[in-house]
This record gives sequence, C-alpha cells and structure tokens, in this order.
Amino acid sequence: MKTRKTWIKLLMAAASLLGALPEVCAEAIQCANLIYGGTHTSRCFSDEFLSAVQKDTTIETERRFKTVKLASDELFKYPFTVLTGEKDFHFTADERKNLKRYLESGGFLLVSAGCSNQEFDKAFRREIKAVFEDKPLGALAADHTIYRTVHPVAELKTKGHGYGANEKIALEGLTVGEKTVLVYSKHGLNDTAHTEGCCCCGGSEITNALEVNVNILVYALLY
Amino acid sequence: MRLSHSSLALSCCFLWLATVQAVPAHRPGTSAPLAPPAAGMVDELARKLAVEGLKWAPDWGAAQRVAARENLPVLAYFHSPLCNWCARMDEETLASPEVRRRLAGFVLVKVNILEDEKTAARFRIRATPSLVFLNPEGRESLRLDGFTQAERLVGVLDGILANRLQSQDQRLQTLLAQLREGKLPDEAWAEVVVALGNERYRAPTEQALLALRPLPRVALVRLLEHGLLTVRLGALEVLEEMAGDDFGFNPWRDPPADNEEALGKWRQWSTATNADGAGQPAFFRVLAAAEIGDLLQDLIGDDPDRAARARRLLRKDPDSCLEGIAAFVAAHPGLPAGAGRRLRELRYALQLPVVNGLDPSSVAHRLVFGNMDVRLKALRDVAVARQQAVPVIAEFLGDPDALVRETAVDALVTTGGREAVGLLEALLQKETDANVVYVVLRQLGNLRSKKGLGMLLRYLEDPNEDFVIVALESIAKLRVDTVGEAVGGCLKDRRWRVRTAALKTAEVLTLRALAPMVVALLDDPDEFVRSSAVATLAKLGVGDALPKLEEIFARDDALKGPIVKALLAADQAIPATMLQVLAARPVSVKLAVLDNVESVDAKVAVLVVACATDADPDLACAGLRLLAAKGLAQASCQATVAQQVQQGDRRRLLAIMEVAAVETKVLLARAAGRP
Repeated sequence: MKTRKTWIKLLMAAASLLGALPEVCAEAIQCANLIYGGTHTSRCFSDEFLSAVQKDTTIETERRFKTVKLASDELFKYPFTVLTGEKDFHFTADERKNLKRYLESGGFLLVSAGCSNQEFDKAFRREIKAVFEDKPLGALAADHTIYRTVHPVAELKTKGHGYGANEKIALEGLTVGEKTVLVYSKHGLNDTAHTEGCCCCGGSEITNALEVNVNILVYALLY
Repeated sequence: MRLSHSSLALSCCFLWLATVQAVPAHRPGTSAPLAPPAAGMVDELARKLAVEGLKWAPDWGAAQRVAARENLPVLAYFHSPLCNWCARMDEETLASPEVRRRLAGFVLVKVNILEDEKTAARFRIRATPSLVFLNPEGRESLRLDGFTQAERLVGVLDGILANRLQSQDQRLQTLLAQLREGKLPDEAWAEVVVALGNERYRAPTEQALLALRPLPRVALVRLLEHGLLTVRLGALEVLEEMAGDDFGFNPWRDPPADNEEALGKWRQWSTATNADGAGQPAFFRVLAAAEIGDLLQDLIGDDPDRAARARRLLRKDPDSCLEGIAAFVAAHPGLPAGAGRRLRELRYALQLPVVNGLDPSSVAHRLVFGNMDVRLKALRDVAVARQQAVPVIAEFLGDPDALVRETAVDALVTTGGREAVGLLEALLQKETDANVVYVVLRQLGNLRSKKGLGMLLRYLEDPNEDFVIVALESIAKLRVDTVGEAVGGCLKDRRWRVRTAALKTAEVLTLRALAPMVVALLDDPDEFVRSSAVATLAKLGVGDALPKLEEIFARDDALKGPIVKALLAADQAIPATMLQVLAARPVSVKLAVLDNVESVDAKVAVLVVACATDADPDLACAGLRLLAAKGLAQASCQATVAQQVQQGDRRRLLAIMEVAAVETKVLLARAAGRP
C-alpha cells in the first residue's frame, strides 16, 4: 500500500504540474451528487468511499457530497459527480446539454442503478443515448485501469440473487478522447451497507462497491 | 532495578506452547476453560504472527534444530535455479501476503537440490518445486509437488495450523488432568509452567496449579534450577503467588551461580510446615507504588523479556496500575514518544474489559501501534465494550488526524454512553475541521438528548450550509415537534439547499404550523425548492392550497409531475381543470407527469388512460406500460389495454408484452423459491 500511495502522490504531483486537475484539487476534493430530471435526487449512495480515498491514498477529500443540479453552472466546480436512482426519469433539455459539456470538458460521472433497478437502467440508457448519439456505452475491459488504481479488483461481486443476478456483471463506460468519463453499473454501486436509512432488498447490487468506487474516484482524478 | 518479581516474560520464549494464540486474556479468578479452535482463530493466529519477510534457515540441519528447540513445524522448499516453476513460485505464491503471514508460524528452509543433493535424496525429491511439511520432531506430514497456487497453499497452511492448535490443546488438557489427579510425571512439570507463557493456556494452567493442595512447593522450587529461562520464569511466577515473596531469586542468572542464597530460602520455604500459611497462598497481591514504578521502567526499557514480564505483572492489579501510570507520566514529563506509546497501550489494555469477544490486549496494541487502517478498525471494534470503552474512545477525539476523530465520534455514539453528548459538545467547541463537525452533527441525530438538540439548533444559523443541512436532517431524526420556529427560519434562508432541507424536515416532522410558509415557497425562484414544497405540502395536507396548486399547475410545466404526485399522496383526485391543462401540453410534459404516477387507481386512471391512447407512440407506450403493470384492477384500464391489443400496433403490443414478460419472470422466480 505504501508503494501505491507513493505512486499516487507522484501522479498527483505530475497532474498538478500539467494543470490536468481542476482548480478545486488544490484543496480537498469535493464530490457532488446530482439532482436530475428536474426533481430526482441521487440519495442512497454511500459516501464511505470518500473516507476510504482519504485513508488509502494521499488525496484529500471532503467526506460528504454536495447536492448539485445537473443543469446548473455549479456542476463545473466538481470534478466527480454521482447520479443514482430507482425509477424512470427524463433529463431536461438543459440537463442534456450541460451533461455533454461537462463530460467533454474534464468532468466525470459515476452512474448507478439503485438496487439494480430496471426502470432506471432503461431510462439511463435511453437518456445517455440522447446525450451522446455517436458514443455508445461499452463494457469496460477486464484490464481497464479502473480495476487496479488502488485496490486490485479481480471480479465484481454481487449477492448472487435478486434482480439482475443472472445478468453479466460488468461496468460500462463512455469514453471521450482516450479517457473514460462516465462509468455505469446496472447492478448498482450504491454500497447501501454503508448508508443510513437505505437498503437494497430484491436487487443484486455489487458487494465490493467500496473498493470499486475508490478506484473509480482515483481514476477520475489522476488519469 | 529489581528482578525478583515473578510474573512472566514467557511470550518471547519458545517451547512447545510458544505459539501466540488469539483468545481474550482472562481476569484473575474467572473460569477459563480451553475453547476449541474456532474457525476464525487460525486467521487471527496467522495475523498475529505477521512478519515483514520470510526468514529462511541457512540449511536443513539448522532448521531442524530451531524446530526442535522452539517446537515449530517446518516447511522445506526444494527448488532449483534452473526451474521456471520455482521462479513463479517465488514471485507469485510465496510473495502472497496471505501466504507470508501464515508462514510466520513455520521454520522455513529452502533447499537447492543442485547444492544439497544429500537432503534432496533423503526426502526423495524427484522434481522441483516441492514443498515438504514436517512436524517439530522432523516427521513428514504433507508434501505438495509441483507449482502450488497461493490460494491452495493458504488452505494447506490453515489446516496445519489448526491441527497444531488442536494437538496443543489436547496435550495441555492431558497434563492438567494429570496435575489435578496428582499423577503428573516429574519431567512434565516444566511443560506445565511454560504453558503460563501462552495467553491461550495461561488462565487454566494458573488456576490448576494454585488449586492444588498441598501446594506443589517442592516440585516448583526444583524448577528454579532448570536450564531453561522460560521454565525458571514460569516456576517463579507461581511460587511468588504462593509465597508472596521472591526471596531475591534472579531467574535471568544461570543457576546455580549467584542464586544459591535465594535458592536456599526457597528450599527452606518449600519444606516449612507452615508454608501454606492459613491454607491460602498470597494470590493477587496489591502492588506497591514503588513496585509499579519499577515495573513501568521495565515496560518502557529496552529488554523485551523484562517488558513482557512487567506487562503481565501489572495486569494483575489493574486499579493500582492505572493510578501508577498516571503518577509515572506526571513524574516523567519528558518521556520519549515510544515509551509513552507503551504506557498508553498498557493503560488501554487495563481500561478495556473482556466482553463481546473483545481482546483488550490485542485491541490496545492495534489502537496504539497500528497503521491508519488498523487504528480505525480497532476504534470501531472497541465500541462493543459500550460504556466501558468511552474513556478510551474519548482520547481519540483529540487525535491530530481528522479521519481518526471522525471514526472516534462514530464509535462514541455506537457505545450509547451517556457521556457522549457532553464529549461531543466539548469537541465542537474546539474543532476546526469541517468534516469532523459534520460527523458530530450527523451523529447528534442518533442521540436522544435535549442538550444535543440545543447544539443542533445553534447550527441552524451557521454560515456553512452543509452544517445547517445536516443539523436539519438530525433534528428530523430526533422526531421532536417543538422546533417549528427554528425550522421555519430556515425556510426563509437565502440558500436553496437550506430551504430544501428545511422543507424535508417540516415534512418528516409533519410541522403543520409551517404550511403557510410552505405554500409561499410554491413561488420560490428555485425550481427544486418549488417541487420540494409541493412534496412537503402533500404530507402537511393540501387543504386550502388546492387553488394555488391549480394555478401553478397551469403555468409551471416542471411542477406538473410533483403536483400530481402530491395530490395522489394526499389521496385527492386530479381536478378536471388540471387534466384539461395537461391535454394541451407537449408530450415531454405529459411523460414527466407520468414519471410521478406510482400506482393507478380511480383518482388517476383518466389521466393514464388518456396517455395510453395518445397518438404519440412514446407517450402511449409509457401509459400502456403503467396500465399493464399497475392498473389492471381498474375496469377502464383493462378495457384500454384490451383495445390496444386488438388494434395490434407492434410497438404498443411490445410495451404491454414487456411488462407481461417481467411479471412472468417474477412469477417463475417465486415458483422456483428465489427471492
């Protein structure tokens, strides 16, 4: 771990020198959870991974989300955002435009179907297709950097039953240039075991989500 | 410095019981039967044995000697520099942290078959790599030929360690049974006293020895002349308990040199007719302040044997020791950091109880000497001791690392201790890290306390909106209904997130007195606040606000969905005027409204049927999906679905069948007994 931390430190230093990190990285990283579809909130996504990144790497994090509207200019203050839900939704026209601009200018979005929700899954696929007509979501290769930035993740584990249990477990992503700027999990990376007042009953969410989310945040910030 | 107190420094000495075991230390006087090796015990054992790297004996002969002396099993690794699989074994299997941790319980020897043909021949090695496991007596117990993956080797090592633990248990049980029956062979006394050096066996052995009548004075005094330090230490510990004195015996000196005088006294004591006094040995005597001071010096000194011995003896009198540590620290203000940490470790071990599987010694060590991961985990573990853990956890509220303070706050609240609110209040007064303040405010929502509520209310006027929001959320969790005025103040806050959080709190606490302010927020400049106000109104009761809602419905497309949802939640039908307004709006607006319909009953059936029969295929399919999934109890809905099926439009049919397919899947899963 010590070697990995040193390595991350070097990468952080290099990224800062190259100006690759947004201005906010000079201080602690704050992540946003999004209000989308006008009134949908991204609740029930654990912020435990923010503490884990602080603990396991040299990256300073604020250990809580900031609620931000997808259609707002404020979105661009946050290098990493989370969108989750458990029902059908439609992005507004402003949200579609803003999301495209955000992802094409260095932002990162982690999307999770809360508790493997199928309605959300369909809605998200429909909406992201409307935002990026020419860039389809694709499964992340097993050797993608995301699976090894901090924790070596050999496999995505799920409860093995519930909705989606029989479907292939893989993260999907969307690439702009050479960088993955959006990661999507239809099984769910909400890590509800670490949330208060939420549970995933009936779904088949990813059980090693904490490690995966740590990796994704570090990837988003350093690559 | 005194050397003559008897408690032992046995943990660093190795005989057949030398392997450290993972069981809680027992308090004097408590019954401590041998527990069978639990499933997790091997893991714990392996963890405790963790070492930085693998230490290989120089040759087979040396390995054999160490194994016999320290009673450890041997792993002989036969390899050849020409063998590619051996290289892979080195780079993968033996590099695995899981494997390396477990190997710490073995004497390791690496035999190059090209250089040591004799040993290779002796073990009939035909190919490399080959792993040969031997017991401490040198008998082969298992062999793995060829490349072995780390996962498999971990399983094998666990099996060997578990068997070893079991055989040690059995051996000690036999010895103790012989001891109680007065049939212990002379040569086995040394094994018994050495068992005192093992946490796992210490309590039952000590109890068995001290329960003997007459006390086995002669046998134990004879052991003071034993050639092994570990035996002399064990014997002296028990003897000192019995006699209440050490007679100046120094166990570290090689007998009989310079110990003759003390040995003479011991021999005299062992044969004296009144040696048992009133029949009770001087068990668990209170330590004098000077003795504690000497032992604490030993504890922080360089000699690990003396430190371990001091630790054991000090643990026998926790109350005096805790006072002694405080006095010692006060008298030595310039203690080096390492010494301070050792004292702190001992203090935690004494303060924490053996409860709910908590091992005070282990957790105290992790709290003081662990890396960040280990310390945080230990802090969470300590919370199982509940009230008794509070003094220890409270110290971590002052840790320089904010992450540790955050975890300490969580642990403190988990203990459920009454002091928690007071400690959190003190922390808030000096805390400068926003993350820690945030965690305190969040946790105050889990403590039903007037003082805690008062602290939360004070934060409702804080310039940091995150604090205001989390304070509002915590107030909502406390379920108090006396906070209307304070929450109402937040409804007028200039920050939209604060107004939204206040609306949520008003909704959760059903603060009906705030309804007029909530209605006023239906005209808020922020769309999300407006929609939140609609949701809150649904809980507080739409009542007089219906005309206002109709007015907003007519002019604000973004709020049409939330308003429909609010009306349905308040068990109100959708007014005809709203349906008319909606009919004239674009498909996207109607779709957004449908998103907010969660079940289809008579109050909303007209709206959904209108969508399902719309000419636009997107809207019609969304409506049909809703009807097929949640509306078939309504006659009008059934008719609409049937009519669409008859018309046979392919896209609409697919939308209906999609729902049917999901329903069928669920039914089949239920029939198969899956959730």
